[in-house]
This record gives sequence, structure tokens and C-alpha cells, in this order.
Amino acid sequence: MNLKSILTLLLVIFILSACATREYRYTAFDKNISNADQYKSLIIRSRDYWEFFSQKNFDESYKFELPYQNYKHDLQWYKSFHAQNRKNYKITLIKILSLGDDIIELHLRFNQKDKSYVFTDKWIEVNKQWYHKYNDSLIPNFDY
Amino acid sequence: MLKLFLISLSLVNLSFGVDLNITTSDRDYATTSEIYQLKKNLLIRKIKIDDKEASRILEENMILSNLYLIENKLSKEMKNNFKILIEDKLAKMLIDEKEKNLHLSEDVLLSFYKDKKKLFFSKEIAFLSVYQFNDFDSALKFYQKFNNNTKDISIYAKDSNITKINQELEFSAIHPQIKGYLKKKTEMNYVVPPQKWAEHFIVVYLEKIKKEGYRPYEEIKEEIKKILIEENRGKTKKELVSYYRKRYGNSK
Repeated sequence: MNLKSILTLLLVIFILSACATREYRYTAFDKNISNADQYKSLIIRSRDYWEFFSQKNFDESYKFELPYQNYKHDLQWYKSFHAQNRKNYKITLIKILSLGDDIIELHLRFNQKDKSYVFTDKWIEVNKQWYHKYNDSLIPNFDY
Repeated sequence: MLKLFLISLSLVNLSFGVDLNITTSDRDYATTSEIYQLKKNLLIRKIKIDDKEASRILEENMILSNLYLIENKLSKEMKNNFKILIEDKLAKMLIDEKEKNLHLSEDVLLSFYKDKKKLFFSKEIAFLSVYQFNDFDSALKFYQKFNNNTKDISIYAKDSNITKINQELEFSAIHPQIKGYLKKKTEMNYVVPPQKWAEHFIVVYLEKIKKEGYRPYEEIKEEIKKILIEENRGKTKKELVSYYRKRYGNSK
């Protein structure tokens, strides 16, 4: 086996291992949602958000949060607030519900080996960009 | 108040703290800027004095406040109170100054508006003018003239014998006696016939109705800015304290 073959083999192993990790991290979205086409940009944004958030990459997920929430809480606060979160779970999009032209509620399923539940996520379009609203209080919020 | 103000000035110690000391001075007490400041303060209260008078007041106040300190020995409690009051005032002044210059981006303001739109819901508002009369005949005459005429209310506004009260009310809050006449809410410029109202007679004119709905973003932008700044006052304080500590160390 020459050097070129060894390098090619190493590259293939590297790509495969990356894919394997990627699959573990992958946040799956159900493709059978009727109004999915209408909200393509939102779905992509939500997928990217959860990709970062589920990996506790809060530096990146912070950029998706509503601007006024980021004005209220800086990144440091955001990181410490979410520090205890779980990691490496899957999120599946179940339903897209419009609460108005620019406010959407996504119904999502949280999946991990020992736990699975459905929750809602609010997204608001501000100047042609979708932003995520996070719950910044440990006390239940009823105006959601 | 003036005395408190003058004493307060002497309390501020530039070595990052507030202290209370007796002022002794060999110089002519009142400087030009102090005289100017006193005149300005009094002018706000519509009191006009000349430089000589201002200088005299300043000197007298210094002497009297010193005398108070010498003879009465300011109690620790009072000293603490002055210290607390001044520090509180200065802290507020600093925060106000910082907040005045805060820039909140369009995205910050608009995202708050969209998320908290419920806060900006306004109910149906009626704009009414209530004309009050002492007797029924005057009220009736006014009503007939008003109702049959061009309904140009400005001509009646000039009549000083008529008491007129403008009111902006939620439609649901209008008294049933009047509301009964205003069923056709879409019909503007409506005049309600004379009504007995306590000791008087009134004629109510419905100028317009503002429909219920969300107040437009452009109208309440500044209000949102105020809300956000108010909500984040704690954060501003923390940032300023942290800035101070970084720059000047932990000394108080």
C-alpha cells in the first residue's frame, strides 16, 4: 500500500467518522408536514438553531434568539442559564402553526434514550429574519 | 431646600466617596459660577435677584450651615442620611445620563413589539364634547341650532357662556343614558339631545370613534424604548459598577 492509498483511506475513515458523529447529532425533521413549503426558511433556521442548541453551542444559538431578549440578557447570562441543559438529543418537527403573519408556533418532539416529549417553540419574523423566543425564566410563563 | 442643596454640594468628596465637613474659607465665598447657578436655580422658581443679592445669600448660607454644624454637631444618623440621599441622587443622575444615550436597534424594538403586542391593544375610544347648561331651554336651543346647522363645533367653542368639557373615553365606559343614543357608532358628528345631568343639562357631541386595535409600531416606538430601558436598569447599573471597579479598582 503506497502513501497515496494510505492517505485516501485515512480521509475516507475521517469522513465516515464525521458522518457518524453528524448522524448522532442530527436533528431530524418530519417531511410530511403539509405547510412545510410555505415555511421553508423558518424550518431551516429552526433546524440550524436546534443543531447548535442541542450541542450546547450557545455562542451560535444565541444569535438566533429574539433581539430584545439578547438586549436583556448578554451571552454570559445565556450560557449560564442553559448550562444544565441536556446534550445530544434529537428534535423532530411535528407541526407548524401560524399565530399571525409573522409569528409561528412550531410543535416539536424532544427525543433522547430515556426521555421523549412534545413542546412548542415560538418564532417571530423581524425585518425578514426569523428569531427564536426562549423562556428566560424558570417560573412558568403564561403569556407564551 | 436651598440650604440642603448647599450643604449637599459641600458633601461631595472627589476621592470617590461622600463626606461631611465644615467649610472654612478665606476667599470671597461666592464665585461667579456659584452666583450664576444660584440665580439660575431661583429663576426656575420665578425669583429674580442680582449678583450682589446672590452673593449675600450664598455667604449667609455658608455661615449659617457652618454654624449649625458647629453648634449642633450633626448626628451620625443625619450624616448617614445626607450621604445616602446624595449618593442616590448622583447614581440616578449617572444612570439617567447613560440611558439617555443608549441606542436600541430597530430589531430590538420591533421584536419586542411583535412579541408583546397584547400590551399595546387599545379598546374602542370615543371622543366626546360635553356642553353644559343651567336650564333646559338653553340646552334645547343649543341642541337645535347645533344639530340643524353645519355641525361645525368651532363656532360654539367661542361662546364663553357655554361650559365645554372634552372627554376621551373607552366606549364601554360611557354612561348608559348617553350610550343609548350612540348605537350607530359609525355615524360620526352625532349630537345627543339635552339630558338632565345632576344639577345641569348637557348636550353631548360625539366627534369620532377610534376603533379598537393594536396601536401602530411607529406610534409607540419611544414607549417601547422606555419600557426596555426601565426593565434593564439593573443591568445598566451592574455594567457601570463593573466598569468603575475595572478602572478604579475595588476601593469605594
